[in-house]
Amino acid sequence: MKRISASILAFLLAILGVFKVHAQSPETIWLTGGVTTFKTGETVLVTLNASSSTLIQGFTFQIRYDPACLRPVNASSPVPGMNGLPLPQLTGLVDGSYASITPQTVNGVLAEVRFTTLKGCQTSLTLESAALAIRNAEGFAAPLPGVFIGERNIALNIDSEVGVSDSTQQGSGSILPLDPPAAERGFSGWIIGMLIILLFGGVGFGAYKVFRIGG
Amino acid sequence: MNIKNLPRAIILLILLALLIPANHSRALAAPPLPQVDMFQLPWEQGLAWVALDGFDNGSDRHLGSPHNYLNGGAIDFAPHNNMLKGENTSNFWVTAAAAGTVAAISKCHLIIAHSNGWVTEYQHLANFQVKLGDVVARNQRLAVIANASSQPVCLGSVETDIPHLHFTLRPNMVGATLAGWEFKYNSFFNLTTFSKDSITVGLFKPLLNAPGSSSTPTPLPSTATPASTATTPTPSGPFVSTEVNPAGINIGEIALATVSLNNVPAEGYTSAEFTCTYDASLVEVSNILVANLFGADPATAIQDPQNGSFIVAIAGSNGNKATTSGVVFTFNVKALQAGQTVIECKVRVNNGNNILTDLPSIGSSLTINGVAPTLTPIASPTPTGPTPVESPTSTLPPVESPTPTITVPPLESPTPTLTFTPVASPTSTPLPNGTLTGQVIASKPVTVGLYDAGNLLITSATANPDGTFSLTAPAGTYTVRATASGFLSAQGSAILTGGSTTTKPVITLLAGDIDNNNVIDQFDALTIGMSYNTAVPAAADLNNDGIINVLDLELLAQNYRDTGPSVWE
Repeated sequence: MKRISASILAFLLAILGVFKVHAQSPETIWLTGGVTTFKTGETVLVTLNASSSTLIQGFTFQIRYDPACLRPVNASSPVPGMNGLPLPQLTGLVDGSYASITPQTVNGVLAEVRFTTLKGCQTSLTLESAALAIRNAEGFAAPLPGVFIGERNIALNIDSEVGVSDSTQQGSGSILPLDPPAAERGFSGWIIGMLIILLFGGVGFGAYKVFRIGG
Repeated sequence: MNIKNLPRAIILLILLALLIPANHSRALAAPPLPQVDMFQLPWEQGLAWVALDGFDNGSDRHLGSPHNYLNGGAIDFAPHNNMLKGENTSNFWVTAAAAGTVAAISKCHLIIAHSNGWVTEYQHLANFQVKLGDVVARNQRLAVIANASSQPVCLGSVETDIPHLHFTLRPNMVGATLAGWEFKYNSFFNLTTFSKDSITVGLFKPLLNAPGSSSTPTPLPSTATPASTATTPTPSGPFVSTEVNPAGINIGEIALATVSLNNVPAEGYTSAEFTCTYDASLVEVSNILVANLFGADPATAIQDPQNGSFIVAIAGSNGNKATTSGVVFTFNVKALQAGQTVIECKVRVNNGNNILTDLPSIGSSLTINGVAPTLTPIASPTPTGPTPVESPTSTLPPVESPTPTITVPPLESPTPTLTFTPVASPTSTPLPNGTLTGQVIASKPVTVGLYDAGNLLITSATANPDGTFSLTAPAGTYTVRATASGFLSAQGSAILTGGSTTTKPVITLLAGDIDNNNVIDQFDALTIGMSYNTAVPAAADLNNDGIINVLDLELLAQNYRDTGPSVWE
């Protein structure tokens, strides 16, 4: 009997604990992903979600990824009036920002982010930071304080077997390209590296010729 | 030299002298000028202040001085000549020369950004009435001039012991027109003058701040002998009266209104501002003629009659005052339709302390009969009143007469900068000034400031439209900081050596720090997104084209994730 009572009490405390967390953080952002197993070349879709009782005019998020395994394609927001702001991307980090000229209530999907799998990998996506934005009295965008970030990580299992690419998959709403920096995409980096090596080689060869003749 | 060659040499010298442009501001690439009605003088309307020091060509001040005409020029103004250190300046209000926004402010100066990129700067102030970011109206009180004692002037001022207003208009002040006064400069003779219609005055002469007027001091025709019905005024002290003669006319006929100051005290009035009202549906007003109660050659401004009121502002020149009672001005009143209207002029007078005081006023009633218009001889009324006014026939200057413009201020010393230094203790020798010049590139107005070791602003200036700037401060080591709205600031050190100029390298400010937190981040971009296709906040309009759009986002994207302040070597 004692054991049953203790179990019930523990269960109630756990429930209360969960509710307590939610009571403290009515504004929440979290990341979700449906399928977690992919073949090479397939599209990974993850969803950024929010629950908020405050009218917002924008949001921003940063998702860390492994550039050896994944390549970001784009993001889209189904929230009406939320427009994507094309800003420079960093390799390994998706940096998305959306803004609206009018305040909006958001409860549900903020944005969908798409990646292409590059090779067989055990990897994960991590919501590094995210914020809901309001417009302050001076007219500047400012983060809504007290926003709780829930689920941050999504583990992915990518098989080296080549799958069917679904390049036509598009989300609704404003599409935000997330192309990583061109210079770091691989091939052009090789060319630049080769040119540098050739340059140094030429200089070295010239110096060798000069010293040889001088001696 | 061979004596035969002497005439040739003289002729050559004359020819060379002729090649020197009389007015460099015109000879150089035409500097921008504001619209003539955009700015008033930077003190309260209706008052006359004097210019203590004008533009310079390097003769009196160093080449980097804001007064230098090549830097855009600056003028030192004061409410009266011979200002004294520590005198009561609490009523010497400096006002906004035009509507705008307070773009910078320190404990002794402020800067107002106006439309079309125009910027005014006011230095040596105290008792500020505005704060950073305030939107100000034209003629709104900003501050009083510091008394140079308990309220020190800004560091870097040449005249540290004289309460005065150092005023600049950028990008250019030379040739600009403020309150109808054109600021002229002859760089060859290093002479600053102020012209309004046919009047041209130099330094130390009253400049009446009466914008929005053609201000032609029209001489009274010799035949116009104003009449006065001389109704005994009721007030025992000074008052203004408006008398209409005749008091009843038919439609289309004209009556003469005479405005007089009565019971004028012995100390007299240096200036006065009259506001006259009438029923514009019944009568129309014309032919406002100013008499010589304020002495010969008064500075006059008349706001065109419209919508039932007009303003006449008058200030005596050459120290003249209105010291006796008499007619100040007259005007014609033409009847338009039957009815009755009161014509009354109210006045605010200045007895020399630069405080405008309202006087009681007495108006007159004009009755218009609905009779069909007959011949309307211009009222040449016979003098019936007991106070015949001396006919002001030839006392005002003929319009076409060559103006006595190039008269150097008749003060004892020929050097303007030294004439107004009644310093009691000549022991305090100011540190020699050094100058810092450079160029800051940004698509918005740039302010460059010098800060001491305690991060206290010593002096600042708004850069010219091309980004060039010049700052003067006592010799020493400073932090120099360049800022522009929406841009990351740039910061470096500057060592100023007395009597010499230090030049900082050209620097380009990075666009995108809209919220001024020293980092260009997502929230700056979000501000653009939230304000898309609007004009506010102005900091988000990075390319300064008046609208926040993708072009501003592109500028921001170029510097995304950069942090400030940028290092200014």
